[in-house]
Formats: sequence, structure tokens, C-alpha cells
Amino acid sequence: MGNIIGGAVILVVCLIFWVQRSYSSEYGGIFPDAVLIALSILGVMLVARGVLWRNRETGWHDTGRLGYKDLGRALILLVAWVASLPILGYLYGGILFFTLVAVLMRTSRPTWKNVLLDFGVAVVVVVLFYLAFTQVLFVSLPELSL
Amino acid sequence: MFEVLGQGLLANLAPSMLLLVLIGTLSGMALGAMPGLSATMGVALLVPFTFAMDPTSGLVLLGAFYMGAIYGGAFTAILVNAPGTPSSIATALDGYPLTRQGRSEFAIVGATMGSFVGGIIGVIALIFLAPPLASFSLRFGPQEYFWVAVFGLTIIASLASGSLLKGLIGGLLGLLLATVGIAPVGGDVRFTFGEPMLQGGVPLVPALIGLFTIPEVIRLIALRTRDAHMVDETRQKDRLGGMLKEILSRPVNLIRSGIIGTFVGILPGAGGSVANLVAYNEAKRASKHPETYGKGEIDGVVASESANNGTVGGGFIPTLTLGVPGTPPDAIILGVLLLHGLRPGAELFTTSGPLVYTFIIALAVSAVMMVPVGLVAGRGLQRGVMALPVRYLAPGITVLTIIGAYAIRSSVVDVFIMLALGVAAYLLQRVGIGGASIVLGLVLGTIAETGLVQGLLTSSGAEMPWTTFFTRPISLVLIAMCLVSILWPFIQKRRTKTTTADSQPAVPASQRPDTGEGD
Repeated sequence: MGNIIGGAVILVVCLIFWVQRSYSSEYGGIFPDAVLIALSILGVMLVARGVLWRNRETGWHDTGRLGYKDLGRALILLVAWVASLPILGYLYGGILFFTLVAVLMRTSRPTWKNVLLDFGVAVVVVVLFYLAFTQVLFVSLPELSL
Repeated sequence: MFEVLGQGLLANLAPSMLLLVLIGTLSGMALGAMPGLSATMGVALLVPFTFAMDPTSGLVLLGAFYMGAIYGGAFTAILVNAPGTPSSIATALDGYPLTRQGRSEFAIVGATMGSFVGGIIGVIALIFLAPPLASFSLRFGPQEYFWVAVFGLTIIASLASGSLLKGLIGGLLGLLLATVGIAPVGGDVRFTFGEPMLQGGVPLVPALIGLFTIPEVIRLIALRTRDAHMVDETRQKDRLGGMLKEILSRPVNLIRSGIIGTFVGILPGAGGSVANLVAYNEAKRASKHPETYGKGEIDGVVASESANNGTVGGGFIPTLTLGVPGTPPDAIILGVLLLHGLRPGAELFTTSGPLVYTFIIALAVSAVMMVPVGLVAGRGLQRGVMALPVRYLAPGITVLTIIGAYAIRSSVVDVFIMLALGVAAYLLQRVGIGGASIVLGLVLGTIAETGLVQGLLTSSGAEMPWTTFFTRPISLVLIAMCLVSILWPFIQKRRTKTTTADSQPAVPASQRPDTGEGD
């Protein structure tokens, strides 16, 4: 089933890019079109392999498999962290989500002392990087925009 | 030449100059170790500080910084699977598996020795072979650059040890991502989905961080402390002497990779991001046990690091002799040379011999300094990262990835791109399409397209322009190399099968375990 799903996703990606094609010069489309055609052919081959070899291989890679609940938690945390950047900025968003991730990664029920410790570590790490980048390397980072 | 070379050596032995090289190497290492801050950016940041210095000191500081920055990229590639610079992509392929086996210290030592040998080989080539090598590199036209990129892409055949079909799909996905934005020739705006930031293309560093690091961060956060193993604590600590002995016992890999790096560095526009992948592929192809690559093979780390530091000396060959920068940081250093009224060319070596040779020797001194500095600082960093509880390591890496992705263009869109590519990479990994082949396609896509289109344009007067890709002598050599590179894994597989069949009875296909990745 993994091969069929993988192949289908590749074909959908090809379709999305194909409908976006709009070239203004003679040679602008040579390379991307060749890549799109080759990728579509390989996508079809992967689907065919999934159908023909369904009894021979699952198509799923057997390493790094995660439970849906754990995966969902990790994705929600990361997406929320990145999505908060334009609003909370690097510093406040960083401290908030660093603490949240550290607390949620604890395997036992966290006490207030644990939360305070995680918050303290978050403040030190995030502020240290903030100062190093903005004050020493003169690299600007997203700021609070509330 | 030897007289000015001696003068350069003496100038470098002055305590003030040694201190300058040490500062440059150390700060370069620190910057290179931060994902998102490339050697190019670091060298550019340093330029204003050199204005107050005399030309020799300024150039020495920049050269040492550049050498250190290329080496520093290995640290995060090995420890947290986040290549600090694109030159360390292949380092992560085996460095991080070594970390997961609890052998990160071994990987750091391998990277250090590789960087040292590669750096020295590049400098030797720069001293003795600069003029002939520089004029040879000028014979490379668009067709040859196209084939160089295709040669790089053939690495997929050896990277995709599980399934060639899925490896090729990954490579083509990378090539497709490389076509996003303004076309390198012709200026067409392609596949931007209405987002102006995408006109500049999919940025390489955020893509690298996303494809390599985010799947690992997802895994760490999802598995939490109880199952997320960064080190095998049951493993006994390796001794430094033993590690050095093991790495130096295979000098061919060290030297070959350094030479590859030097040669790729000479080619303008190629640089460390291509050299480390080519050297990795050659190391795997030449290995007696290629199946261990990608699973924690020290020779993979050594090859990648030797090659990327080889590009430093190699890149300066066309820069100093022809005024054509081999790599982006070379372009900045070339600017500094011009700023001080020094014109590149054969005359530079005669009219400003002491300055040029002091600079070249400083690169060698920097390579030597990387050994003690790297072994102390690198192993210290490694121990620090390993001692960190996973619940702090995972958000700590996330902080670095956000900064790394954002810093290049000061754009939150780049952070979104990084995360989107990271999540996609995790899901693609589940169906057996690895991030390494996508990165390969992304890195080489622009070089391949530029070579293809420029080659067609320059030969548009010919009856069949595309035939020029198959008739030029250097192109033919490169085509032969591509064919060997593609066919080699199959030949090796066939050899292994024959050997296995000779030594033990065959197992029927129906009794083989299903890994979901075989073909």
C-alpha cells in the first residue's frame, strides 16, 4: 500500500506543477518539462509496483514509524511554533514553545518545579541565541508584532 | 618561487600572525557550526573588520576563517543531522548514524583528520599546480558543466541502496524543486504559486535543514525521552589514539577525496556542495563494503570533509591566477584583493609574491590548527550535546533550525518552507524516499539546467545543437564517468551475489523477509 500511496502523491505533485506551467522564453520549459515527464513516469511505475508486488512488499519503510497520537503531537507543536513566529516573534514564541515542548516531552506528570526548570532552561537557551545573533553577528530575527 | 615561499612561511611563524590564524580558524568553526550561516555569509560579515588591517593580515584572517567555516559545518551535521553548510551534506549521511550508534566522537575525529588532509592537499595544489590547472578549467564549457551535474546525480544510484526507483523519484523531486523561481537562463518565472518570495527559488539552506533535521526533530518529540536514543550509552568509549590510527590506516580515501575536492573547487560555480557528494560517492564505489555507507561508515565522513576542505585551496587557483572565483567565498576574497589594488593573474605571484605566499601558507597553518582546535572544541561540543537531556535537545535543535532558516533572507516564509519540506521529508521517508536524494537533485538542478540551456544556446548555429553534448572530448570523458558511476553498484551487487552463491546455498525469494525497500 505504501508504494501505491507514494506513487499517487508523486502524480498529484506532478499534476499541481503541470497546471502551473507558464513559460515566456524558448528554453524556459525544456528542463522542468523533462523533469515533470520523467517524474510522472516513475510515479506510475511506483503505483504499478505497488499493485503488482502487493504480496511481495508492503512499500512502507520499516524504520522511524511513529504512533499517530505521538506524531500528531509533534506536528502540532512544530507547526504552532513556526506559525507563531510572525506574531510572537523569535524571542517570546521561542521561550513559550521551548518550554511547552520540554514539558510535554517529560514522561512523568510534570510538577510546578519541573515546569519552572524547563522555563528557566528555555529562557537561557533562547535569549543566548537571540543575543548572539542580533548583537554579535548582526542577524535580525523575527520580533513581537502584537 | 621557493624563496618567496620561505618568506611566506617565516611571516606565518610570527606570533601575531599565528594568533590571527587561530582567531580566524576558531571563529570560522563557530560560525560554520551554526545551520544557516554559510561560509560565504561569514566571510562577507568579516570583510569590514579587515579594512583597518594591512592587506596581508586581512587576507590571512579571511582565509583562515573560510577554512575553519567549511570544517565547522561538520559539527552540527554529525551531532544533530543539520549540515551547517551545504558542503557538509554528505557528512550528515554517515556522521549522524555514527552519533546514533554512540560514536559521534569517532565521527568528529574523522571529520577533523579529513578536513586537515583535504585542506593541505588543496594548498599544495595551489602552490605548485595553480597555472596549468587554472587554464585547464577554462576548457569546461556549458556542456561539460551539464555532465558534471549529471555525474553528481549518478550518486543517487549508490545512495539509493534500497530501491533505485525510489532514489530516482527523490532525485527528480529535488530537480523539480530546483526549477522553482526565476529560470537561471531566460528569466522565466516558474512555479511560484503566487508567492513573490519563491521567485528566488527554494532556498538551499532552509531546504537542507528541513529535509535532514526536521524529520529527526519530529522523531525526538514524538518518541519523547523513553525511546529517543541519541547515543548508545552501553558502548565503551573509544580512545583518541585508536580512532586516529583507524582513520589514518586508510590514506587512499583521505588523499583521493582531497584531490577530488581540489579539482571540483577549481571549477567555477561547483564548490564544496558538489565536491563532498562526489567524493562520498567515489569512496563508496571504491569501498570493499559499500553496504555500510549511510549506516555509520567513518570513510563516508572522512571523504566528505576531506573533499570540502580541498575546495578551499582548489577554489583559490582560478581566483588568484585568472580572477575567476572558484567558490562564492573566493569571490568575496577576490573583491578584497581588488580593493587593495592587487590584480589577479600570473603577475600577482611575482609582483606581490610575499603577500600571496603568506596568504597561501596561512591556509595551510589554518588546516594544521584545525586538528588540535577541532579535537578539543569539537569533542567538547560533542560531549555537551550528548549530555543534554532529549527534552532540551529537541527544542534546542528547533531553535537552531528556525534561526538557520530565517537568517539567510530574513524571511519567515523560509521558515515555513523549511517546516513544509521537513514534514514532507518525514512522510516520504515512510514510503522509502530519502531526503538525501532530494537534496542532491536540489543542489545540482540549477547547475544541470544552466549547462543544458547555455549549451543549446551557444551551439544554436549547429544543425543539431544537442549533439554538442556528445562530441566534445571532455564531455565524452565525463559521459564515460557517468556510465561507470551508474553501472558500478549493479556490477558490485552482481559480484557480491556471485560470491555469496559460491559460498552458501541460495534462499528462495518467498522466504526472504519483506523490508519494503528491495528491488
